Amino acid sequence: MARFKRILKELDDVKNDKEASITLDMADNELNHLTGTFIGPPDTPYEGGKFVVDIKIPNEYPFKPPIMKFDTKVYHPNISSVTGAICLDILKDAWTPILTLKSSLISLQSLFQSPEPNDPQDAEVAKHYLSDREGFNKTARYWTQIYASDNGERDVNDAELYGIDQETVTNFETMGFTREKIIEVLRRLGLKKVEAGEPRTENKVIEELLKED
Amino acid sequence: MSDEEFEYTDDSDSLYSDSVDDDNFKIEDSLVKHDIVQYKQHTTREMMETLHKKCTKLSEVLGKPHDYVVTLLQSYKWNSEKLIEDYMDDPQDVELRLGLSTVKLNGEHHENTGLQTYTEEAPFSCFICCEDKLESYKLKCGHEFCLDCYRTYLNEKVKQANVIKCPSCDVALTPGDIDTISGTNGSSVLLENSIKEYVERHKTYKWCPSPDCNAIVEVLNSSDIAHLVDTNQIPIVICSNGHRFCFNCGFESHVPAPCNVTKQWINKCKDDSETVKWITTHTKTCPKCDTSIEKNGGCNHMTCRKCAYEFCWICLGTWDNHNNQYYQCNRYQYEQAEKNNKSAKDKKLQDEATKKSLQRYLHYYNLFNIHEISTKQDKSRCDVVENTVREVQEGVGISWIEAQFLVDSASTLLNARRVLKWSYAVAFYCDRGYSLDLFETVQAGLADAVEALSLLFEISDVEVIAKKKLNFLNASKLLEDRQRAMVLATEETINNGTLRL
Repeated sequence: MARFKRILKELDDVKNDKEASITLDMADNELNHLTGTFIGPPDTPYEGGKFVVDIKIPNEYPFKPPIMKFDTKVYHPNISSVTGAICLDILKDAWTPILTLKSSLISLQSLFQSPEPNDPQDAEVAKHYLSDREGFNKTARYWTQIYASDNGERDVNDAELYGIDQETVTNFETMGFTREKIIEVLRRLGLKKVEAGEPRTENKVIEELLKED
Repeated sequence: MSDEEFEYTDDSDSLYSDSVDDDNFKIEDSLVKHDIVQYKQHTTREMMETLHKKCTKLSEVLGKPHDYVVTLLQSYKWNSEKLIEDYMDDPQDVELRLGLSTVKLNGEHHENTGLQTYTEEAPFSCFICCEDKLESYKLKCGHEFCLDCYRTYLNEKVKQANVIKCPSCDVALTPGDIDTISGTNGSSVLLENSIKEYVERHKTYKWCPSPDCNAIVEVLNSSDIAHLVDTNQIPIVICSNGHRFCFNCGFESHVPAPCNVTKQWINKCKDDSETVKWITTHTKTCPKCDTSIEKNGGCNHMTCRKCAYEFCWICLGTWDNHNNQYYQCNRYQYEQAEKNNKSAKDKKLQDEATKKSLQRYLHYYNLFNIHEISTKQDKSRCDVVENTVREVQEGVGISWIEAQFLVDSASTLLNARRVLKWSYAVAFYCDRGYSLDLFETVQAGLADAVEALSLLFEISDVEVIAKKKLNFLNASKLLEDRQRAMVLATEETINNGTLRL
């Protein structure tokens, strides 16, 4: 049971390091299921958030990488906004046994600082990141506030949650469609904003809206 | 023998004599035209020796040790031209990139590398397993890990056929390091896996598809293979263990069915099986080399293990397009959707047609399958034919050479049954009409002759076998003739243009 000795040591290491903004604990009193957390790095949309990572340790650890996924919902090109799955090379092919759970969590933290949109996990989010950085930052910040902050989940604004332009939603609402439907259709079509000068896109959305029911 | 049969045998003979001399070579060859496919047979050991020779030659050119060159070539996927080019350009860059640099690392120089031993009083504390150990291994980068951990690490890495690097940095392990650590010839396992990769990456090589056969065939005029396949000829090769297979399909010999017929037929047959249901729901085929790929992680950026092609899991397009002009593949395709809508109306009509064609398909599939099973049974009997030969020798007291007719007949039977089996696949894709009638008449004749010879193999009494030698010879001769006729009839059908794919 060599790996248990190593995991215990890793747990100790994280506990003794008061500097790092990282925690690592057993999830259900088992050494092969842990929970890690880290703080969103400053000057990023994730600042001020606390992110929880679910860690499963395979039997072959440390020769095979730990299986990590986010329990906290994160808006990030390399993290699935739905499942929390992570696309990071060191958790796959580039893993070596000298890497640790601590170093992996630190790598995740730095992934927050420098996303890799060209090798994405969440295509929608990556597209948002590449096409409209400001809008992306806004949405990511909003997700951090709602899902990763201590003051818990407050009233969720669904348009903001998916980075959809408020004005666009209001525009369609005046046509008599429900807010829910509008957001659903816009998400399905992969649209964040419909400009007034784009009648073709607008018609497409209206067509979809009418198709329902 | 009925008149009808007689007629057709005559006919086929005259047809045959036009093209090929009636000498003793295998009948399949009339369609295969062996001289067209030039190939070499290899065994894994020979391949290994070839690669080693390549290394020795290169080590003389570069003036570097053999071990060092093995690692270099392995990183270059055995592309020595590219290696020499790069190496001549900037040897230090190549060395640094591959972790083979002999320059002092980080200004430090680690003298005492290799196997290290410790005492109980002052043991080695391994970073990986966090335990105290007595034996460790140290590379020239100074990184040191206990032997147990290193071994586990190597076992994991050897499977990937890449050059193995220090767990902590980019320094490469040489075959010498690997052998010392594993205590066995671990490096040759790595080399063997590397050969596998070499064979799979190079189109001129193919593994023999027979189970448990490690033979490799190298085609010398690979550019002609495509031409052969286009003209409905079958590039059959024979591996060093005597297994016949089609070099194009990497599949058992499927004479007389051309490659495209075979591919369609196999796909069709597979559609029904549970495995294929699983494959279609869980895997996609690599858009470049058609290997089935299962996605076991979340990332949609796929790299084919076999041909190293990078593509997008969603749209199956090349990954290059996905970098900046981001992801067109998540867009809903309107034109496509309208098309789908229209086709729904046609679907009912289609369903009825499908039912009919399914029945037709099942008819041919059953026949195909029956002969597949019979081939297996024949094969197990032919595998012990050497024993029968010995029994006949001992029981009846004839010489070994006189009893060889059994071995010849067995191989004739196996080949002919395979031809018969594949002819059902051809028949499935034939248009109804005179041509198919003719084809099926020839086919019936072949089936008849196959069963006649197969029946003779049912005899277990050695004395009867010896007495029936003439029957064996006659049945074999008849079978060969009819097999030839079958192959020619298939050629005819293809030339008539009655094959519908």
